[in-house]
Amino acid sequence: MSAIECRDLVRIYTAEGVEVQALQGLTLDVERGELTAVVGASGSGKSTLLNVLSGLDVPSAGSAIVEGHDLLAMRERDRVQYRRKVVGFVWQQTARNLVPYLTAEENIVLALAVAGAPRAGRAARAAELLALFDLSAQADSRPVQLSGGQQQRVAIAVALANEPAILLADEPTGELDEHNSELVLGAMRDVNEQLGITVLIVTHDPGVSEHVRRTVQIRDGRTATETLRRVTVSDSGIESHTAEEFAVLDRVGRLQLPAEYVHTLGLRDRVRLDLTRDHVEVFRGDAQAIADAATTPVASDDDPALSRRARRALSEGEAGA
Amino acid sequence: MTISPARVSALRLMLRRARADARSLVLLALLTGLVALAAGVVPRAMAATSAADLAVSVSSVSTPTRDPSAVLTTLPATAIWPEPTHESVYGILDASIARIQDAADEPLRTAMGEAQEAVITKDAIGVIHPDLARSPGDLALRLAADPADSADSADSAGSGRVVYIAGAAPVSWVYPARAATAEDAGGPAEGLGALPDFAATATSAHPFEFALAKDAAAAMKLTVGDEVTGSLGVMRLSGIFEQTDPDDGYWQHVTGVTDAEITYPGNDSPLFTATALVNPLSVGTFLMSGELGVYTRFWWPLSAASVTPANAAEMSSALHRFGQTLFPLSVPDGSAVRSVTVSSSLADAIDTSRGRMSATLAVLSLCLAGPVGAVLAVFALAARSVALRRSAVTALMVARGARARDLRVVAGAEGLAVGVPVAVVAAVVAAAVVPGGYGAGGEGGDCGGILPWALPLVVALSPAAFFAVTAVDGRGLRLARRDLSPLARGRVRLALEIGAIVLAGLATLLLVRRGVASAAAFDPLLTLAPLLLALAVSVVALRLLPVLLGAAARIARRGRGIVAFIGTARATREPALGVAAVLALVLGVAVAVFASATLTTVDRTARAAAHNAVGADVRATGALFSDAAVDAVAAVPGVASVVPLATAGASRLAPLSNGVTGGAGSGTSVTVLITDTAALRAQHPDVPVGLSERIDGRIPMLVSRDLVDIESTFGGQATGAHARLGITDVVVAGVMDATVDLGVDRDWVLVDKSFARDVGANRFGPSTLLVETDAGADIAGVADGVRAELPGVRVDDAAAVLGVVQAAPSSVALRAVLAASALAGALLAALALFVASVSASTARARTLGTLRTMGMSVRPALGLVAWEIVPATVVAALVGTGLGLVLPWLVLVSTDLGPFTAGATPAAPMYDSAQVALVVGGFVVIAALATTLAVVAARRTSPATTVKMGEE
Repeated sequence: MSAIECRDLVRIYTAEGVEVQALQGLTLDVERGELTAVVGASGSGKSTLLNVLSGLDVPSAGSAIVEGHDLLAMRERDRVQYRRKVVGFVWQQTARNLVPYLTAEENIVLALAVAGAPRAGRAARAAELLALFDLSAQADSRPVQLSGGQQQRVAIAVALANEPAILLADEPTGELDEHNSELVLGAMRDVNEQLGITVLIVTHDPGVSEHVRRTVQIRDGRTATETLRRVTVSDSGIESHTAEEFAVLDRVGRLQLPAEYVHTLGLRDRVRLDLTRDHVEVFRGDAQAIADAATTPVASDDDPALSRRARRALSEGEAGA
Repeated sequence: MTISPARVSALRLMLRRARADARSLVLLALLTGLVALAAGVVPRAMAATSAADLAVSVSSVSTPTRDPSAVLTTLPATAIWPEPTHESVYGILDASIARIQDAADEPLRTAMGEAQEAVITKDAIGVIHPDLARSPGDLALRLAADPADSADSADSAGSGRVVYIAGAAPVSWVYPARAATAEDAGGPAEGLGALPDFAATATSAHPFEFALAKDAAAAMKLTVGDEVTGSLGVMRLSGIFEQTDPDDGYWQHVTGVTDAEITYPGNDSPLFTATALVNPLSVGTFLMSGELGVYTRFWWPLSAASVTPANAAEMSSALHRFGQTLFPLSVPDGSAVRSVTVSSSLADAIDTSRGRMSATLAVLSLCLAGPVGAVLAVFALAARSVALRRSAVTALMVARGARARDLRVVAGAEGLAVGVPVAVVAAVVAAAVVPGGYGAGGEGGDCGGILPWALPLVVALSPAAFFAVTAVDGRGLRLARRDLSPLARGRVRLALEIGAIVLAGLATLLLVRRGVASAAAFDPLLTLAPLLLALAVSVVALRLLPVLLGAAARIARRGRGIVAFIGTARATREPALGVAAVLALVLGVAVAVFASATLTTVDRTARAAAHNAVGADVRATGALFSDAAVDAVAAVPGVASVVPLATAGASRLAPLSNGVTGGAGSGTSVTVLITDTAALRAQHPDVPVGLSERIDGRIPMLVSRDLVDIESTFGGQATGAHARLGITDVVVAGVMDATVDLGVDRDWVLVDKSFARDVGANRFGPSTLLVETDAGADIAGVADGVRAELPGVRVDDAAAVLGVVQAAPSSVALRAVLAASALAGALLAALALFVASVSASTARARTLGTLRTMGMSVRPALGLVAWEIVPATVVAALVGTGLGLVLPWLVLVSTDLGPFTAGATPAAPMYDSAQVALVVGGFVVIAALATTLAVVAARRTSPATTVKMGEE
């Protein structure tokens, strides 16, 4: 079972006659234990997605099932339990993740108290989490006494206080320098690898993608592409990192072409598709493009690169000739 | 490191949270304490005022009018001749009195003391002093008998009210007997027996005995044994007595006993009139004598102390019912049963006091709208300010899984911790400062009872309520997108605003239709209506403000300055003052202006009424005033004019139709006044000229308005009508308005002094002087000056009458209420302004920070603050002033202000423009101070820090 399963998720905000379609039919699957980054430009809908997944917002249409919880069908009472036990949340602003007048340890305990954890175990759990992130020495420090990176790591610890299945992070390194970003991302990776928690990081920083195995790109409220990274070790022991980018195909076969492809080829309005044995070709659909195609050197019948249509055209042309 | 469990408790976390907002919470606690103190003091003070006012009102009623009393023009005696006994003369009366007392309801019955009776001759008998050389002047005696002094009454020791210091008590006198004659029987006289000899009079051998009080005897120069002669024959002074207690209420019912009254009835010789006591069994003689009318008076002493705030309402009802009942008395002649009513003006005194308290409480209810509204606004602002500051943490806790309900409960608990302890302390302090006024019996009327404890309790719970409501955004825990316009909530807000306006209209309509409330209690509708009105106008003002600011922004954009441009832009799009602050401002100004207008209305109306009650600013009566005396009074500093007024007694005014009067006995009995009409014109310019010259041989006269209003007097046109006054031909030269009070209530005519003899006076001898003072003169000082010129003369002044009205505890309370609520409203409005300014300081600091980084200096920054506050404040002040000028109408419609204005009812509110301007100006100064304080308080935040740290 997927940890996160979104199908055609739509979220529309209406105000004063203005409609904003933040999510326009987003489809996303995240497996259990995955470390996934969701990237997109401002206004792409990624923060909205995170708000929906965290239970802070309700989608307008579609379906979103997280760890078996149907987010559209949940009542307020269920939503509260969901936020306590199923997801943990980390915001971008370090100041917003922590209560400013409580120490690091007290912040963790607060999360436990809110969820109704037994009082006896709270202290131990706080100590455990702080130790996990090497922050035991900062237990009595208030947020203003911590660096940005330390604050975010405490925030992660707070988010994990009640052992959620999923950790959601909205631009966790947005306000941090490179060194602290590394520390925070490293912490999230450890959380994912050691505790098996599914981690979903939303960011507009492409650099974050290099730290995760899977990156989903959102554009205009829909998933556009995915990038999967692998580390392969050659026989000689040399590690090579490979990243493959995929376009996301939804249920009915729609996909988004990458922006630079569209721009480079000048694709507009209609495009022509050609099916080959193992791939689909996309051509410009305007008159000039068709004329150009007619003057291109013709490949032989046996050329596997020939599309079915091209072959038919050839054969008709031969028949007519 | 191990953490102790205590460190992780929710309570500790709550305390940490509270400590972070300590300053706001302490301020809120202080405010709660002050409001709770006021809430505890005001009902108690009103209860104490109610009790004091009632006591003053009741004790200001004279004893004879307060005691329930009845008067008979006869006496239901069974046998008064030849051998009257106490039982035969007074038996039926005593029995009837006992029955009447039993018929009284509680608490009246218990409060009525033992009945007292007196039989008094209607008129005084002229008597001749035995030694004319020794006689001080003419003598007249009124005869009175106290049945309790009857020798064979149940209490044979007598009433004990008098002690004889010379001589002895008078014995009874009855007509001697004579044999019946044939004339008496109209036929044979056998069997008729003896009859009283009415032709006989008292002689020296068998004189009619009477007794006088020591001072009366001395004034009349009579000693024991002196025999005076009058219509009864020879009357002998049998004894001189001293009253055991001259202040005994009995002597206020039976007047004229203590000393002789000296009058000057139209000639130069003084007349000494005293009331003499006679033997109770001599009363038969009064009844049998055709010349001596008699009236029998009985009453029950009712002490002022028997009326308390707790029983005032029931006492008044009981008195009214008692006074409206006809009680039958049986008379021995077997004819129709006589009935008598028992009257007392105590009920009116109680009702007047309750009316005053009702008016005071009504005004208080209205005045409360200001402080109550402002307090609610301040609580709302403070709670919202705290909630806003905590909004990030609240969002965090929501994201961590906290329930909205739990967050509200925690916030509410915090509010309780803020509000309850201080409110309890304040309520206890209030009880110590103003004790009394509470009790199960509802002492203090409707403002006592549990109210002094219940109100502080409500105040104690208010912070908790506001905290709980504002703790979490009501739209639910889902985040809103900040980039979307906040007017997404516009439809809800518009509906609420329209609802407020509709409610305000309804409340006002209800109030107007209800009219004057009868209960002497806090009137919630009178508090609600102005509050809703203020809310409605605030809402309208806030809707209009952006329009005005938009116009200002367009003008500012054309200019070069940056402050006006940014100021108007911020004021339109990011207003610092919301509904709560504007409402507080509007209410503060409105209540202050209302207080000024109401005080002006009450004062001016009372002053005019007092003037009319006296007839002039100063009035001297009680002696004959010579021309020298008149000139002396005119010379007193501050006197503008003196009008001498004399009365020629009563006469008959018969209008002539076709030269013929209606006949003997027709016409109207009027009082004839004589004055110097030229001097009168100086005081009343509408007096026509030429009143000292005959018109076609007829004497010109002025008549009172009420004579003219009765059609039968003059038919149609009064002026120019011919009439006969007594035997004198007169013509109506003019009509004087009813508001001119010349000391006679109604039915009077007035002629010039040159016609004094023609209307029956020997000469023009004024016994009243009407003195008008210069504008702005001290009336009381002028009255003292007149007193100094005319020793021994009674001098009344309008200031004294006004002083009596204004000295009533409820009058004092009214002024205190108006002044205090105006001040409280202004201070609370200033506080609301302060809190709103401080709340807006974060956003302001952010803008300032950005502008400072662009290079703007400090001074223009202050201009930004001005733009934030001043437009809204100015509009609120204008709107509030308008509302404050309208609110007095509400009071006039729903409250009877008569008790504070000496009976006159003001037709419309009166405004003193200078005072209103001062009040509004004072308010503006206070608002400016509040804003300055807020700016200074907020300036400690460095803009640089704000820019760096963001919104937090």
